[in-house]
Amino acid sequence: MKLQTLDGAETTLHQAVAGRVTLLTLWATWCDACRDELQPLARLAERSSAVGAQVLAIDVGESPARVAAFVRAHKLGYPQLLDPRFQLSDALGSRRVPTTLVIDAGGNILYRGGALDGAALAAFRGAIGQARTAER
Amino acid sequence: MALLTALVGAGRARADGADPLSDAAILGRSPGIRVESVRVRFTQLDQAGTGYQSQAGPPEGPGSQQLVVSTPQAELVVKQGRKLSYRLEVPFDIVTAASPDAVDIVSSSSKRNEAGSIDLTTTYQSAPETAVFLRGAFHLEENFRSWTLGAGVTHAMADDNAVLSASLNEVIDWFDTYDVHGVPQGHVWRTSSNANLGLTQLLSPTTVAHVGYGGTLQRRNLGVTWNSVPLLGGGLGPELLPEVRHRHALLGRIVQALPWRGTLKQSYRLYLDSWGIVGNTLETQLYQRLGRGAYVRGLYRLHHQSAADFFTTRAAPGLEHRTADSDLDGFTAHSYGAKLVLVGSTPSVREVTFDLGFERYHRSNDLRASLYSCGLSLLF
Repeated sequence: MKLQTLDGAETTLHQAVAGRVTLLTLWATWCDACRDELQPLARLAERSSAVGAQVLAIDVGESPARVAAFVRAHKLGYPQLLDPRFQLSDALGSRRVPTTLVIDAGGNILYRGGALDGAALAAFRGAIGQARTAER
Repeated sequence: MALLTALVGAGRARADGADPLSDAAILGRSPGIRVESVRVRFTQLDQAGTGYQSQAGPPEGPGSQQLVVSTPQAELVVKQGRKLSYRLEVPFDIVTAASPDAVDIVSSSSKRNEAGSIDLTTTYQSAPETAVFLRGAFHLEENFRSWTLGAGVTHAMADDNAVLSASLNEVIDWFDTYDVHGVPQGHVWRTSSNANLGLTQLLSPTTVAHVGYGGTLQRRNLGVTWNSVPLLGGGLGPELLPEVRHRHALLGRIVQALPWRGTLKQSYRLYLDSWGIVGNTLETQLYQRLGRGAYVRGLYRLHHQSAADFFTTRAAPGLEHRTADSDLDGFTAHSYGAKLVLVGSTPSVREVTFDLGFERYHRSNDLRASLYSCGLSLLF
């Protein structure tokens, strides 16, 4: 599944997840509900990196220049990728933003929902807990 | 036991609060009240023409329908928390008429008339796919009061590819009544009960279709009360309208994104009512982006309607119902217009939109109007 970085380089979802527990959000700059969760996602990204997990945002259907300008303006520090031709969202069968996914260290989708909420966080915490148990 | 449970509960709460990934630590408190958008608009309608219901002319008609309406309006959208939003609209109408009505002859009350409304819609997002709303409105003008109550629901289906909407509205109008000589006759009222059903469906990544139905039942005094009708034997008589009117409207619309950064909206509306009017309206709108921060919209609308069964410009005596109102006549109308929209942003305002528009309306039974508008919208 090919994705783009903000500077236009190609990457894949597999490379981006890289065996880490990941909270993935599909979003767009025009989406009001996505804007509401920018700060919570920033907090989650900062705190989850300490336990080896990550937050990954994938913008759908927009140009790298537009998304890069938005990311700069809002000082978003967590990883950002692009799905400009809806390849990933089509593969996931998702036509709504925001969509939140929790992916475990093995690349399995454990949770899928809309906006970031308590259920998504519970699944994310659960996946982190499982990864720690597996490490031990 | 209860004390033990409380202590354990408090301990859990402290543990949850200390967890850097807890719901409270990440999601924070529910956001308070914040302004989402502010819009202001000014619209001016200049109307000219003649109609047989107007007494501003020879006794046998038709009389002038010259009219100027200036409408400043404001809209404020406020969000409370994550699920509640409020939209407040406050339009004003300042009407300057050339004396189209008998009431002007005596009181001149409609030569210049100010009117205002307050319209509040509260929307609750009960689920990611479902929103319910309640609407309340009040309209006030010199000899007219109107109250509106409404409720509705929108429900998204199939990953937002389809949206179903339904709404109910009840309007009560209470107003002064005059005879054709402008003599006050007390107060009358009417009710309008309205139901709407709509389905919007994404047909392709660039095509959206919408179908809708609206039905309205109106009862009691359905005229403006002072409209006159020229009589066959000379002189003027009052307009006599049925006390019930069933109205039905079917709407179909398709929106297609075009490869050259444009969008085409095409719609058709069929209107039928129990007074015998059948209306067909075709409308085309073309949006064309001119660059990053500007687009233009062109509009053409064709409307044709048949006359009400009891429309006449020379009423025979003894008719149960009669009207000479040009709006209830059969006619063909053309509207065309253009709008220029400029879009920008600032660090504190997500989107600033300014628009300038013009629309020209003319119809076959001698009515012409020009509509000028400008608006400013701030999205935060």
